[in-house]
Amino acid sequence: MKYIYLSIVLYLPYVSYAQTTKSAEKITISGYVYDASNGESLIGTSVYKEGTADGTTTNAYGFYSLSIPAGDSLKIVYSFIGYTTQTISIPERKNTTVNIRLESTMLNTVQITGVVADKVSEGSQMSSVVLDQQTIEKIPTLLGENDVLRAIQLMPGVQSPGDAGVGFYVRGGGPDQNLILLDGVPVYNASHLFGFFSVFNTDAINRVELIKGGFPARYGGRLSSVIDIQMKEGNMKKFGVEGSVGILSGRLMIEGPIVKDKVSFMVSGRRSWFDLFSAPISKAINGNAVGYYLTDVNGKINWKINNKHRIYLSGYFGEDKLYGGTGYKDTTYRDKSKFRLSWGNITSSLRWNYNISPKLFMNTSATFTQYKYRIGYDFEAFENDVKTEDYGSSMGSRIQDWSGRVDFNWYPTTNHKIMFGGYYTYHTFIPGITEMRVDNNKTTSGASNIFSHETQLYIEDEFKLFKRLTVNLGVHGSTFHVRNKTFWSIQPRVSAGVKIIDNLAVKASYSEMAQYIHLLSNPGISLPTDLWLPVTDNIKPMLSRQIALGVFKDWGNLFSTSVEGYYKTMDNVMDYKNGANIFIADDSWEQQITQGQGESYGVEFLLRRSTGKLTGWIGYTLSWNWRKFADLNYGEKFPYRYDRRHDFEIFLNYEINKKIDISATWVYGTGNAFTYITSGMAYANPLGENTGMGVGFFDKRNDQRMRDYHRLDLSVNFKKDKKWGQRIWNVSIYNVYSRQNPFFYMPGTSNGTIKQVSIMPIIPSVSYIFKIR
Amino acid sequence: MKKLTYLFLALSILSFASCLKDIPAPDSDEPMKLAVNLILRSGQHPTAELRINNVSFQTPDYSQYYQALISSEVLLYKNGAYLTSLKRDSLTFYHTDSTINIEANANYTFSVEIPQFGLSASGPVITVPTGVTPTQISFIPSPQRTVELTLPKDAANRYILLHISFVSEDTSSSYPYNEWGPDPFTSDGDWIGISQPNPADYNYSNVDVFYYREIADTAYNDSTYISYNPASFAFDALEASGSEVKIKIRFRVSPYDNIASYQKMHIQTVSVTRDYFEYVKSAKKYEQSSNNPFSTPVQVYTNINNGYGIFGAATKTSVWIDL
Repeated sequence: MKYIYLSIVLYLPYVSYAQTTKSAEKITISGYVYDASNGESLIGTSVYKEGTADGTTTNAYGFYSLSIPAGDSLKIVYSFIGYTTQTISIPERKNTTVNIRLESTMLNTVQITGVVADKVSEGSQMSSVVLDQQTIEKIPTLLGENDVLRAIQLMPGVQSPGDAGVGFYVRGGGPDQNLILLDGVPVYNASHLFGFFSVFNTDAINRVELIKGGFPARYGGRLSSVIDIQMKEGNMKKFGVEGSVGILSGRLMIEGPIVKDKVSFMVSGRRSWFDLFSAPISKAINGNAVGYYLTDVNGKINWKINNKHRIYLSGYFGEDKLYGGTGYKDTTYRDKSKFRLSWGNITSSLRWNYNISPKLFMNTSATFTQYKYRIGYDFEAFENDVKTEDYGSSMGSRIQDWSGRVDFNWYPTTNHKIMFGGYYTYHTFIPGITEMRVDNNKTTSGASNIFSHETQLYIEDEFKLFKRLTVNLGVHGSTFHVRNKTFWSIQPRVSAGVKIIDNLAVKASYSEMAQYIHLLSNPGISLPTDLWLPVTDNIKPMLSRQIALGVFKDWGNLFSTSVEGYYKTMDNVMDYKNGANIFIADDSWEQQITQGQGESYGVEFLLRRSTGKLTGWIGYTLSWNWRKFADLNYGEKFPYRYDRRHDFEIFLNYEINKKIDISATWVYGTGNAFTYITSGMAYANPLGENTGMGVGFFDKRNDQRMRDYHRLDLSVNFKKDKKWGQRIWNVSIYNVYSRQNPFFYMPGTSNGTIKQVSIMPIIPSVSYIFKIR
Repeated sequence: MKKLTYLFLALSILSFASCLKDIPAPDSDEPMKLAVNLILRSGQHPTAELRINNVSFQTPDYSQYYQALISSEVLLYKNGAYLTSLKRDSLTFYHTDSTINIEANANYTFSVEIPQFGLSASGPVITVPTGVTPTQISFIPSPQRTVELTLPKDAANRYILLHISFVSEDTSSSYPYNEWGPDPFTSDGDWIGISQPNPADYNYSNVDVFYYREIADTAYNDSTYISYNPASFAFDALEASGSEVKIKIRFRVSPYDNIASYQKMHIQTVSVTRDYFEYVKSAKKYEQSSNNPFSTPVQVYTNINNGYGIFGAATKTSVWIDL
């Protein structure tokens, strides 16, 4: 690692030198790239000088800056997948601002056009996948709900928990090791309906990027992955309405200009239907409404002040609520009890983009995020209309962050793109407050609130050497201050790609990551009661080191393939001690946790086609994941629950014609590891009595495998253009052959058997989608 | 339309008819080991329970294992010398010797082997603890509903389990009393007792007990909720660091429950060896987690060399308080 730091120190003067000596001979072309139809920024658009390898890509806000030698016939090419490539001539030999609007090829034809912009053989970034809204919408759905996290689960290196929901495990990491960002704001609990759906409404999403390794220095705070979700900015040109009505819920998205080409907005909402039926029916039957609903709202305002300044205000509010009650009534007595469980996220972000100069771009943002849940119960009884009993209890938990950050993109020369910046977060953890009430007398107990300060600084440079070598070199530093103790970490990041020949590259990366907060979660299922908690005197930060090597090949404009191998070690990963109480509401939580080592390694293969009538991908992962704790499994290493030797996924979409397209996914995975208790004996009761209780024995943890998981999903979209826009009937079948995949095992009803519990049989659904333009 | 209805019905039946399914248990490659429960209780006969792990009725040649097991003998040693061998009692199905009694403050160890299967197990040397009797006990009825008791100074630095239960007369039973209470040895809400109650006798659903302890030690003078965690209710006096141990337990029952309807309070203190204390704690965690298919598996504490189970000692004292 010393050599890495040394390289950074030696390297920085070189950048400054390169800028001062060469910039006089060059001009800088900078600006934004937009979708011509709606004004949305096109992130990752390739911008390069025609006939050369001198180029760059647009950043997360669609901005680019390209410094190239001045010439008489300077032509700049802009290309992005699914859009018609544009080439423009630069008439003047001076710095120029060029904002480009690319026309989508998807509106009128499904034929291959343009240049595939996101060639996997380009650049130095590896271990990443980009999905757009159109791709996510084509994937067969569960109950008609397109889901970005279920789409992510179909990627190699990402293990799903099976039917249990939208959680995911990346390259041997735990579910809390994934940094999920919505417009740059962390989302702490990304699931609705006890984990079966994610909180992200596809209507509001523009682009999703998954990074599993080779992490650029600008990301930090989690060990295993980054899911960077960008919301739509809102149509700058015209109003549009999209919506759907499905079995589970209804969705509506409205976007449009407030001031044409200047200010736009996007608002989307979603709400489930269950309680609209269950509440009145249950009330009619027993006088108590019982119901469940999920709802979420996304909103964004995008103000393009001028070519230099731009402001975004975005927010998300989501909530799940389960409520109900029971009651009894006779001639003199009546009672009533109520229960409620609610949980949800709130995120908001205010961002200011400022082009300080053609070569320097700044983004400043202030963000807020919160996740909370609350459980409550109340009871009251009356005798002859006089209240005789009145008591209740409630418990709540919350985590919230206030953050500020500033990021700079600096383009000193053609071959350098330097990003640097930092951010500060003020965390508030309220692990759990329990309130007991009898009449008006309340007693409160629970774990202490925890406040902490987290700062992160980074610098990275993506630069080219010897024409065929692209390197991203960076370092990420972080500190975390909690309970008068400060933790810190310096994490080197480096990735490099060498083009062996055109369209064929070898890439390698090394990255270290640190994580200061962690999730106390029920293994195998996401519950609203999962708790985020920070490092403390007793709980150390989690650390990881990952090295990856891969070969990347683009087959013309049709296919891309990649084969990547990785090796990752993790320190201070957490697990519960034997039989820890997972529902923790007091300060004992630190005593229930143990920390140890993790190790994972494997090979991932991905074949992907993004254009044409037939699109989709085939992914395969061969991997091993281990855990080792001093006080678990007698100190010996054991397979992680999601140690999945083989993981295979295929997604195909075929556009039969403009009116019908059909999609299929098939997934296969080795069964999860579990501990099988072979036999036991009676509990030796201290009172010397036989209570009928028994205790079981096992030698090795997670030494058995559940049955393999596999599932086929299908969907068909029937599209029809209308005067007002387009309507789509979507018919989806989840688990077409109703495979009984194991969710968990219980003792069997007879000797020599165990009982397998499956939760997701074949589930057909129909939804109606409309797009008003 | 009719076809569609049939299709929908067929899919529905297919969907939900088979979410639970018995499948063959996986083959275990765990090594065969002896499992021994041998708790020495002062003043009582030594009694051991023996099993062979990973052997069940499905095991080929099960009868051979069974015969070897019941014909084996547990060799018990006292203060370094051979004491007796515990043999299988066909009436109790335990290995025992009803001619001797266990003595407090004596050192014991044991060994057992089944040579034909290469199985052997032994325990560490343990000292049988003396009993601990509360020196002061008081019960303050509603609204405080508080039990206060003091353990003698010699309780310090020892492992003591505490069990408190309330007892009411059960006129429908041949036994004089039914007993219920916050119980460190069984799961919450379970009913245990000297006599097993008939669940039909009472309306249990309204019993809702919360309790906490206060230890009269400046380092532990805060009130700690222990609600619904029986394992933590079994505490060790090490926490009191040598001083007199005062314990205050307040029961907060639901407004439905009338504690005055109970006639007696039964307090049992069990002084145990350290290993046994660890075993009790882990066994409680095992029981709690065994009801949760998502919980982490619990390896129950064992001090048996080359085997499973527990070799421990316990001395119980019991006090009845009229309410």
